[in-house]
Amino acid sequence: MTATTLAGGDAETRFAELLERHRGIVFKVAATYCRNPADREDVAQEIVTQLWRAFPKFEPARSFSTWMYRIALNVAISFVRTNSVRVRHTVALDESHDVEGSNGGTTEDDERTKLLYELIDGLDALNRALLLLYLDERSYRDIAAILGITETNVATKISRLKQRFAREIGAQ
Amino acid sequence: MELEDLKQAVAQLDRGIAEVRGLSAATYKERRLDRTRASLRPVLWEHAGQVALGIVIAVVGQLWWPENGAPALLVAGLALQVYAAVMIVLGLRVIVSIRALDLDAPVVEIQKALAGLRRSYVMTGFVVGMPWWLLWIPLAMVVFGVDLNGRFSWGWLTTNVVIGLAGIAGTLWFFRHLWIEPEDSERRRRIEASVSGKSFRAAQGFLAEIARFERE
Repeated sequence: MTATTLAGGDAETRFAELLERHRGIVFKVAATYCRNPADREDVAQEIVTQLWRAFPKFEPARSFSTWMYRIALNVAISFVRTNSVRVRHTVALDESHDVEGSNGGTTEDDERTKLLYELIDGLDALNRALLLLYLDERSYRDIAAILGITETNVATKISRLKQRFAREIGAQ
Repeated sequence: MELEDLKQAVAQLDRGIAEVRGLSAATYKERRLDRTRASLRPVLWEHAGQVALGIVIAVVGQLWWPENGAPALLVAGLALQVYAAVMIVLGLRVIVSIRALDLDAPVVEIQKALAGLRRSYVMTGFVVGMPWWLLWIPLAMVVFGVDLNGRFSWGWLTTNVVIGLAGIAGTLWFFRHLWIEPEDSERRRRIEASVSGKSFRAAQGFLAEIARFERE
């Protein structure tokens, strides 16, 4: 994203374009932190609301997706923390809906999705963010910038996540 | 299977929630949600109330002491003024921190700030409340007028000051032991559980979680 790109059109049009291009980030973050469809929808809309509120301060020289990830993760983590009881109570009811063929993919896809959710469920809020960023193929540098930790720390944590995943797969 | 094999599953996460409606202009123009800041609204209002109360106490203190040359009344008025100033400054500090929250800051930084704010919501209550072990004495003296040979006898004053000092000492002892305990100690958890609400414990727990995440 460059300053030239942002120069044309009014803020609302620019925001709508950028949101459309990167809306997958909103969905992925919402799905990582909420399993209940109503909660996911609330979080997704809250993320977009906060993105719009923060948009006037967005500097075009910066990466839009990095900026978007920061806001989306901050909103989702805050949502889960303030609504933790409600979220916990509804997860079990909706779990099967997410896993069984909801992606319209193959059995192998469903198995991967199931494993992903199992891994996510066993992680705290910050490690979930780390996992999502890694699996969404963000660079270590980006992950460090989004989370506010060092690249070395990112590498160490990802290495541990890999070991943990290998252990859990081996145990199954 | 390796962790990398789950990248495909993440890429498909958005398909699973295609039912999320209206991620369009209509969504962000409604602006009726804003739950992120709404969750901090009680903290904001409580501290706004604290600032207002501080102003009232400052005014009460100022109304009486300059018109009466009694040294005891002067000291009482000054004590109220100092307390009011502390109340106002602490309250404004939290209000400014909430207003300055910038959600596009790094996740660890902003989550730490949010958890810290929730914790300070409870802690400020203790800090502002503790001086009342003694502060009601100058307030009573200022409001009702000082008469140390009559209504406010020296015996009455001394007794209440001693009781107040004992109360403050007890409170300080308690907090000293609370703060020197490691964040993840069972003893600290039990102390906090006995005196604070769920939100304080949740904020403390999350701060410890963030600290572990930064450290590991």
